[in-house]
Amino acid sequence: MSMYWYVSIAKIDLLSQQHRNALAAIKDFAVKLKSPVAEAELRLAVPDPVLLTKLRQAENRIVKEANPLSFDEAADEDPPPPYIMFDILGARMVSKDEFWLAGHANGVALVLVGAVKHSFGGVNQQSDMSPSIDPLGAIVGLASGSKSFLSGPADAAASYAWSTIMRHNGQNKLRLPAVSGLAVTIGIVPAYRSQIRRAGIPDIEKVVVGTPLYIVQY
Amino acid sequence: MITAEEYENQVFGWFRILKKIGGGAEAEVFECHHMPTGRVYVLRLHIEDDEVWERVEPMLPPRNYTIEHANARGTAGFSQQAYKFSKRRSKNEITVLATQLYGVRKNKYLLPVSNTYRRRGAVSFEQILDLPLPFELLPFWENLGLLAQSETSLLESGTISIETWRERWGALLRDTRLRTWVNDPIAALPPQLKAVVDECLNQEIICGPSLEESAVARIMLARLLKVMTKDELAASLSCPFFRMNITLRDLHYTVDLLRLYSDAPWILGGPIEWLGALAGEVLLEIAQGLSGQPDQYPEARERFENCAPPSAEVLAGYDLILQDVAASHQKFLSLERS
Repeated sequence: MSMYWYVSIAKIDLLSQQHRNALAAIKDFAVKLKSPVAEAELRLAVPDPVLLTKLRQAENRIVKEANPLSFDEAADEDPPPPYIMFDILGARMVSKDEFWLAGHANGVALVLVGAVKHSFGGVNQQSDMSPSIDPLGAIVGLASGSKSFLSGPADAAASYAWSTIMRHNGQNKLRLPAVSGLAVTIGIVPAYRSQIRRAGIPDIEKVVVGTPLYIVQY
Repeated sequence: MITAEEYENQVFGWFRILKKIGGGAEAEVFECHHMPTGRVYVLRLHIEDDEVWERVEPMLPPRNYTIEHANARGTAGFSQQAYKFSKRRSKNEITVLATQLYGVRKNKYLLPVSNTYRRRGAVSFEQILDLPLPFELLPFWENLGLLAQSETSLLESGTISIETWRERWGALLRDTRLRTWVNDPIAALPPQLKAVVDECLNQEIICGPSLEESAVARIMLARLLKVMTKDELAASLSCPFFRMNITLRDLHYTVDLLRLYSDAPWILGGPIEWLGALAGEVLLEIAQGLSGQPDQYPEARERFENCAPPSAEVLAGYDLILQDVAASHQKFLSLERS
């Protein structure tokens, strides 16, 4: 039985509406990224079957209309595809407001952030994200087309977020669980080496940033 | 390429890097233990420093001047403004304090690099470090060596018991050049007695200065050469920037040297004849200064004075800089009467 880590009801609802084209919804996602973190709420339950049905319909529609790529392949695309798929060993970090997922494949790092209210399972309220850098702000800014923020360039912030999540989970030779899923692409930035190397994982060249539609452990 | 976790538990000089306590936008942050004093400081390593991270083994001692020189200058600038501000306000107003930074010298000592206040009348610890080592300079040390040699020679005949010898010389002779004075008499001891003496002298103790490089020896030299007055000695030992370098070994040396001046029976004349009365007086001044805690700023602000922060040249001399732990009130080592 698959175990869901995250299902974004907001995004599925959006996709279920009468948009003529799934791509049209992406701008709305980017704009809405600011708000979901404000309404943190935790559900300790498996997704409702109706929700899962809607999720499958939305996924089928995306696959059919938007041709999503695996995130490591998407890293070479310009412009990046609107949706990305992933099948990775996933490190997660769940704070009071945000759900974060990180992983990597073929020298490409993936970092996803969403509202904690759409996550399932226990919440670790202790975020390791430092207040001296604002990765969420940078990612929200990246979604709106900015390249640098108060906390520094987007590549540094995204790389910091990725290494922090990987360290939070993946240190001490902990084997990470296998997860897969689908996400909306926010941006792709070059790996900022000084931040990336903090996770002790070599040869990461790019960081793909997104917000998850769903994440499932298998 | 190495990670912050690989710096945990690494030792350099008198310091041990303890656990990582944070990681912000620009630095990995660790607790760092100054082992001979038991005090803990904050070590920040800049994430952009390739020489620190692009390695197979941790860089020991690490360097962090790329991040902390600017921090020290900024802290000093802030402190000067805060001081001017506090001068304009009544004494009951809140005092704004900046976390102080210290340059690490020879991987052993901590010298302030951002302070804009100091204990009135105190001599800086740097000044006594810059004095030549006292071993060659004063007849005190030669006489101390000769006294140790004589007493060690008397062990074999039982004129001095091993317990008395151990109490008088066990700590003083460990890890020091004074040891050369007693090597021959120790070699001549019967095997059983020699084994006891060797065990006593080779016992593992916490790292710190040997007797001749100790703060106690340096202060004695400064007093006996009259480069430090009695009042300056008292003020220096009341200064937190000076006291932070007083080690557990310094406390032991003070007590053990003073014990030589005690009324215990001596076979070969009294200690005053051997070591001189003035050295005994200075040791008493040191013991008095080490009793109790040093003055703290701003609680005892009337005993402190404003000063210019260390110059750019002084700051440039340090590759490694540590910080106080913010809002911590760690006690300083002190002597207590038992």
